[in-house]
Amino acid sequence: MAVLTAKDYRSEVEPTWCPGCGDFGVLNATARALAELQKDPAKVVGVSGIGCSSRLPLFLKGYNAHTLHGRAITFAIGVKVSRPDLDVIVFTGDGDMFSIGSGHNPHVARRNIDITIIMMDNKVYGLTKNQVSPTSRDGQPGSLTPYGNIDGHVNPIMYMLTFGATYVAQTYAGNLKHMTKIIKEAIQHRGLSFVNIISPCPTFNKFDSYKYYKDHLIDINEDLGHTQLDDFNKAMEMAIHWDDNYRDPENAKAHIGVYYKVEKPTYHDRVEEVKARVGREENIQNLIDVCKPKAI
Amino acid sequence: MAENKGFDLVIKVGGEGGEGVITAGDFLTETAARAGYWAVNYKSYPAEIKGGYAQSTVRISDDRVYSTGDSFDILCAFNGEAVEKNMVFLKRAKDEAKPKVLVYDSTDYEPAEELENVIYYPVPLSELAKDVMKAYITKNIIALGVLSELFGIPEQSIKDAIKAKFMRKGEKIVELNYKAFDLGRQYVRENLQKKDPYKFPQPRTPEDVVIMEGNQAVAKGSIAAGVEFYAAYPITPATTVGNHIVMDLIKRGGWLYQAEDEIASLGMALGASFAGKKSMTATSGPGISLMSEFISYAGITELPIVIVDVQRGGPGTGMPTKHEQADLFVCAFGGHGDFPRAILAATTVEDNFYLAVEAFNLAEKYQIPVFLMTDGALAIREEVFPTPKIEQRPDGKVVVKGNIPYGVDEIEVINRWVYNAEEDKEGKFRSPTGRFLRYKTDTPTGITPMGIPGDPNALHAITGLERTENSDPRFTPEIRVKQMNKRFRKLQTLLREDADRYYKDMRIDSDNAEVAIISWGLTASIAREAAERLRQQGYTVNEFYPRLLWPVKAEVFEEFASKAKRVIVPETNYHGQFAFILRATTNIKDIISYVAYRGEAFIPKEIEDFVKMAIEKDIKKGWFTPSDVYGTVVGAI
Repeated sequence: MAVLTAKDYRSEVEPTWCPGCGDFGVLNATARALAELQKDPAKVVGVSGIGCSSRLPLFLKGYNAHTLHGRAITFAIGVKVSRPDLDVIVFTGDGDMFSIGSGHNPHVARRNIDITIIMMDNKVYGLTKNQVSPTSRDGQPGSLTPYGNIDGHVNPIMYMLTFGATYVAQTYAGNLKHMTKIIKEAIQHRGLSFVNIISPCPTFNKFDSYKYYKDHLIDINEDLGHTQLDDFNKAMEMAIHWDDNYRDPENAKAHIGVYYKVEKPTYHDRVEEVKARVGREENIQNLIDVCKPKAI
Repeated sequence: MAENKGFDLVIKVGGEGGEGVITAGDFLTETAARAGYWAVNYKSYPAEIKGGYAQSTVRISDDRVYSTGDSFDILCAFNGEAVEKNMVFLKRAKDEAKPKVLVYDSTDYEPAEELENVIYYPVPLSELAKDVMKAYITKNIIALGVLSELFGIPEQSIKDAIKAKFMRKGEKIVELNYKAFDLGRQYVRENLQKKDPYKFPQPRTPEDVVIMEGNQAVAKGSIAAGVEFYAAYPITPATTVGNHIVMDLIKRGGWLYQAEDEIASLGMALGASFAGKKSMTATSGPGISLMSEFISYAGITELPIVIVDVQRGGPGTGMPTKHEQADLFVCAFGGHGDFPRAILAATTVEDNFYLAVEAFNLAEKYQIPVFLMTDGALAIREEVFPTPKIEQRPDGKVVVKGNIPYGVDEIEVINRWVYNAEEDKEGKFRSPTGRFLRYKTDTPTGITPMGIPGDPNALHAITGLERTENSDPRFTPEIRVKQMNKRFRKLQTLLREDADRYYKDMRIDSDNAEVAIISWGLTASIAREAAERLRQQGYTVNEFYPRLLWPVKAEVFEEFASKAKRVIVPETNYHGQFAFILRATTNIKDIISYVAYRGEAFIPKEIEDFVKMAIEKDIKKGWFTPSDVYGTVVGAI
């Protein structure tokens, strides 16, 4: 079989994103990661919700599902649990995942379902033309909050760690090499992988630009000595600093790197155990006949 | 079965939850089956977790029965509350030909007055259980002994039912229960004199039957259809579909996923469908409302899906444990926009089994959302019915046979049309650049093959957006109109090829009958009995109980309606929802809506009396309730 290149994972559809959108980088890195893993495109299922970021699977070659706002994770679970042989990747955004979709996060993570969630975090609702999102900064303007954001923000890293994700990482759309490495690791990881990708929106979020991140990023593994990746407490301590850069945007830096990586039985492992215990019935009639008055 | 023709007895057991009232009813149902008779058991649990009034109404007959009739012949009351709750029926005895019998626990209760045409049998059940058996828990078994001795319910059949239930707990427990049963019989022999005419006939050769409750039948039917994925969120009264299916599903290699909410449930089921598996969810009204966005999504993405709606009293949180059939509107019209769907509605427990198979067939063949509508009363109702037979053929085909109640001989399980590149050498479903055309618009049926993940020849993306044939989002007017036409062509195909299958439960007595009755769901089972009574009194009654409620094949309904002087549609919802739909989709000139919305099913008498009133007053249209017939707030109950 011929070796597949990154190009072989791209569909015919041209992306509709604005020039300079960070999501282009995410698309590239995903295609490269899949190529490095030589995944069979017919067995990769990309699932997304609604939003600019959720358009991504349409630009990938494979079996993809562009679903409902906030519900990609639910659809993805249905795919993965019924077909554990498939690689399932959720492509989502900060609003899709942490606003409307947030109710699904604890449950996919606590079960350690073996899917990969890639969230493109641009701290804004782009497709609906500029509203604040759960990861927006204080004072950030939005069409429904023109006076500037007063809602506070979530900490996606800390949340997913708390909910039980077993691979938690953050990367940056402007660093193709780092993104590709992280996405590849996330896909390979057995269990729930959550990757947050800082993805600039040049159209609506003027603050979180490539220019800003040029000198406001720090690698938590290389530069902050966070190498004990299977230590939950250490991961949480690092996660607490995820939003230092919200409190002190000028001086503090945003993170890239892996917070947590641990091997635990996946949901599928436990399902198989139950199936082995319960056994199999080949004859459907037997399942009907148990409703007959019992022979005594 | 010529001997014992005409045996038909209704025994109601009522009392406090926790005293084995429901179990007693279950035993009577099983006893009927073991003795070669048919039974329908309508039960209701208390609303509380502990205590509260519970009842089980068992109708036993030598012929198939589909409702529990107007009320009981025999009431076995475990406490005073049970007597009080049924006082309205006991008081009616004076106007009826047959007497009513009241067997009651006389330990702490005495009826305040003796009613006309009611026969009283006091039995100190609690005292016997506590002081003689020294096991209060055996109270209901003692009661069964009492009923057996009084009415000739075959002793061996009851004892076999007792043994079947308790044998896994050991000989001692079986013996204890036999002792309780015999104690009840002995008490009657020594203390009571039979004054009533009710007598159970001799046992017959038992038929090959199953006993199932409604939600269990949905579960088993779905297993027969080959369901592999079930996702649901618990909600009364739908939860037990999941309870009944879970272990069977695992044994068949599938999985039940308890989701975090109803939206997730349907999302997951659709994901499993996309991945190539037959999948389903089951919920009630509030859940259908939550699911509406995904229902609309299923409609445009053309993913096969079965959604079971076990209806309850609405609106809002409504009356979770009460009967109503008020979700027809939300099943037919819920979910924004226009898209094809189908609705099947079960009239009995037996229907629930076979229509579950049909629901999957329609979903798989037409790649549409299919609603299987049932309700909380059917969900827990038990029926004795002929055992369905599942033929698993060597080529993988599965055929369901049995006494299929709506007029078809067998149901072949249908699987979705999956794209096979070998069969498409001309590339009919491929674009010039080789892309798979999942939504090609020019097939005559509107149905196009699905691509299943793993197949390298059918890679495609699905989206909720309007799209081209290769599934790329695009909404030019031409693309939009072609895609919409494609989707609705599927419905036209359904009407042409499959609708008639669900319209066979029709009876034409006359081309100019006094009345034509159209009904659906549980109400159909009750209307059937009313129709038979009317017929025996000399009325000409045409009947039609469609199992397919949407889409509507107008000409069938129009032709049926044309053969009677008036059309009555009884149903238990305020709007008269099916009548509303028929007025909108057919040319039937006038339809009478006869509705009840008190949280309980009609009793046959209410439909019978209304038909007579409609004939007498020459009513042709309008909206009526049992209050119009009886002058009371809630009709004849």
